Amino acid sequence: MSDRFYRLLLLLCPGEFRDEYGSEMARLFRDRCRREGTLRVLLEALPDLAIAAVREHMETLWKDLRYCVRLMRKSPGFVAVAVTTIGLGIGANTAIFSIVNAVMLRPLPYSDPERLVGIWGIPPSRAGQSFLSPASFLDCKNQGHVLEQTEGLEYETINLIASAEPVRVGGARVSAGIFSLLGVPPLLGRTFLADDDRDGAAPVAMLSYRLWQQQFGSDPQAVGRSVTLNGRVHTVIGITPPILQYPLNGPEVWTPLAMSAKESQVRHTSNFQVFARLKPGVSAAQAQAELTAMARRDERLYPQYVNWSAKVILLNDQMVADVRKGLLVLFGAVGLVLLTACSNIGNLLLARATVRRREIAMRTALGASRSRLVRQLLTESVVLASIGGAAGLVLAKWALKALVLVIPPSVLVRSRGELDIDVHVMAFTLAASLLAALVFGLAPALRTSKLDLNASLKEAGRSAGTGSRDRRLRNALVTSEVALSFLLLIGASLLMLSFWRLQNVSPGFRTEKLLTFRVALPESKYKDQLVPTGDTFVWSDRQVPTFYDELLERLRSLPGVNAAAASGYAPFTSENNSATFETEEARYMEGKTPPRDVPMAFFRPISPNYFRTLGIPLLRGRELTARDNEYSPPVAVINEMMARRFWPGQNPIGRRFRTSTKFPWRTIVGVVGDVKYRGLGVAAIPEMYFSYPQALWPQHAMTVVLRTSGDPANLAAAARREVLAIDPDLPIYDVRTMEDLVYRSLAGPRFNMLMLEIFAGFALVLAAVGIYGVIGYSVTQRTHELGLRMAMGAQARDVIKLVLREAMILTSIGLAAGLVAALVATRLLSSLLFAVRPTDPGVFVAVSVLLTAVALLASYIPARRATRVDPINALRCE
Amino acid sequence: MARKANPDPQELLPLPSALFHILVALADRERHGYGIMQDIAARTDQKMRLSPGTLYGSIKRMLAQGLIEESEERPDPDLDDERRRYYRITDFGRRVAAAETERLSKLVSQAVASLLPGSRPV
Repeated sequence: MSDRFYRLLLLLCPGEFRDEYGSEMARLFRDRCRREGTLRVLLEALPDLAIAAVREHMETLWKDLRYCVRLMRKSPGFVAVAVTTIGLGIGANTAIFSIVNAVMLRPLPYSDPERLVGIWGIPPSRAGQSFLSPASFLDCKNQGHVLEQTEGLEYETINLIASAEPVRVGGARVSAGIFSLLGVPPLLGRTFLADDDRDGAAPVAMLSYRLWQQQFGSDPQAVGRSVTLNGRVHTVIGITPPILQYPLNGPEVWTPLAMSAKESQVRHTSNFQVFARLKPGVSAAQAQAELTAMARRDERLYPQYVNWSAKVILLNDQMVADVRKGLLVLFGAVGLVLLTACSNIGNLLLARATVRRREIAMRTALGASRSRLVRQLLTESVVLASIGGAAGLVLAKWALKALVLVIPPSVLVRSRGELDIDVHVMAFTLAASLLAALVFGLAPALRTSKLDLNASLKEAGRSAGTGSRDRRLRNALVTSEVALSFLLLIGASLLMLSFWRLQNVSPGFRTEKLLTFRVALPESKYKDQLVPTGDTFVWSDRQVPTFYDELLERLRSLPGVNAAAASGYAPFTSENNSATFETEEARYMEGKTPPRDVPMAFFRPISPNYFRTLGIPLLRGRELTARDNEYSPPVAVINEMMARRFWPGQNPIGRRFRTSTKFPWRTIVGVVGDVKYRGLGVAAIPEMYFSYPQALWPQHAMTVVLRTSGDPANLAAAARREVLAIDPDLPIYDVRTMEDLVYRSLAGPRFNMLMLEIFAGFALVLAAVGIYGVIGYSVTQRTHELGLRMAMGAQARDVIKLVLREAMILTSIGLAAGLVAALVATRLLSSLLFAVRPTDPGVFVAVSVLLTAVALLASYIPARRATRVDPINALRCE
Repeated sequence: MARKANPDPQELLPLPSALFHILVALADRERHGYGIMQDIAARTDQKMRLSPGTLYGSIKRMLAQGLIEESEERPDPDLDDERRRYYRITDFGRRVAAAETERLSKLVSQAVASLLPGSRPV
């Protein structure tokens, strides 16, 4: 019994040692057991055996390594090619994994992140998700039984005066417990107390780490100082740590929510981002069930909630939801690149095995077992892969520096600025290198170690070992390279075509020579109220429209400016706002049950000249003008989509609708073309444009758009001067040309395309090299046959045809395999594609032609060489 | 592993104690593994009992270094009918053992001189 156990343990030792001494050792063990008692001997023998096993393995490894280094010194060319190939493959994998690691695998830096959720509203259109209204937030906070703690915040933009220059920063009004919810202590000072979060409490603020560095030079005395936020003096009570970038949208200034009684009743705006911590043991699904029930109840209680729903998303998932797909595709693609590289090196090793056949035969004759040979050959592969892996690590480090410039901001922000090579990435690289060594080394090692000793020794030195199995393995490898590169090329081409189509989508206006920037009037200084009264509106002070009227007037008179306009929400920014409405033909707002599909449209408060400035075509009726102000009857211009959806087949001009019973009816005076506000790839949705003196509320923040005659970027300074001339405390921000905005909006697809292009290009080169190698090898092997053919009168053309035919057969099999794989795999791409089907026949044909051409070219060189075979020589050498 | 034609015993000194004990055990006659182990145990008042891993790891190295060699396989009349592998010391092994003995006795003399002044080395 113990004897058998000991024999089993002997398996830990290297085979060579075991074969030689295993039975003697077992016998010694048995003899001692008989004399001294099993337990005692066993307790002694176990550590002894473990030490011996390790020692013997290390000895073998050391021997193999020394042998391997000697061997590699003899063939530096081979080593260089193999290390470069594997280094590029591992480097690309490491770089992409670093992104995946930083974005998807690293847990959020908050306490118990798996219990943190975001709570969202799902609008009737089911398009995307929205923040919650203040009242809904309070409902969740007070009535959510499965939620341990619920906190909310509203983003705002703030004019900050800390030292001299006013600056524009992002801010957030937060409920006092948000820091304890996330489990994040302040870097300095304190966080908000319940007392700060009261209507009428003394104004206090926290500053972000970055703002504290920029504005206060990291002075610890900043806490306790005063800053002016939107015209109101606040005391700084603390500094937030840098890790709060996500899930919060990077606010720089934090103030307590301090909701008024009136605000806490508001249900018609969705401006609160809500986070909660689930009670221990509660699943996200349970929370979802509770919130769905609450949404159903609210539907009955409040007409504005009809058809709304709620969604609970784990913060960990929310963080990666929109980038996960793209990253996984890239990760898969880069894995294919590594596989291609492995096939290539496998082929190289096989070719070398031919050369080494004599050496292997010699070792076998000297008594090396097959497992011993496999082990030694695999050690060589591991050494190659390790050097390659180390090179890849360095390469990835460089690549990341370059990648940061092209990674879309949506991905970058989720990496929390920690896009680097950490322990996890290194572990991945190590694992990938070892796996690669196994993938490219195992088959050649098994193949090489199994040879006909007699034949090899006899034939050694000449073109020995042309076994058909050898050939088959090499062919299989090169075929798989063709298939893999086909797959990658298809992916890259689909993304390229998709990107090209996306780029050529008309945004609905002319993007060139447009400068945009944003201005936000502080509400404390521009205390305007817009009150709807029966048929029109009354402005309490009219400061906001007066400011923008004057600003636009001044900008229009700037040299180089052809037209100027302003809009509350500009194209290609994430600024959007929607409102439900009723048409005069289908009223529901007074007492009737709302329809299943409540009419809803995005609304955009605009200045006169907006359509002309952007070049949005007016299809019917008239534009909005300066005469469409608070004194005149409310009007609206709608987009084509809205006209078609709500007045199909009719002329909408003269029709009326209203956004609430409190607001007057608006008459439609014009129809304009659809604009791709939310991105070129996003379908147009109903939009309504209001003249800004007649908007739903005072539009303190607006995006100003200038149509220029020259380079729009040159006008930024002049525009800034004009704003300061009216209000010296007012910064402008988000200064961009429209073309830049469009360019940025395509960052995601551009990144995916670029990456896949690089991967596919690399794979194509590898495949070409592989084909070249295999065909070249085959030509060498067939020297005799080719010589015979030429002696019998075959022409050079016939020989070339013969060689190319072999290449074409391999390529065709590879293409066929790649085709099957691509038909399955490209489905994963479909959500990343725009206006391209994943099985686009044009792409498939083009890629097949390209690969075939490359294969022909790669095999033409060895084919030419074959024609130079001298028949006499060829025949003599056999 | 290639061995030098005329190796210098000094190159192998100091000899690991297991190796020295094995050489001593083989000095008077051929032994198999269990015999070596028993002999060493007897010499050291049962204090040193080589386990299989240490013993055969050492034997492997000593064979490679040419300190010992295998003689023919045969059963041990005192034990059972199983055939066992016997080992014997080589000339080189003897020279190495002698060199190690000399090294150790010098060491012992020095130790006695400095630690036990007055007494004479054995």
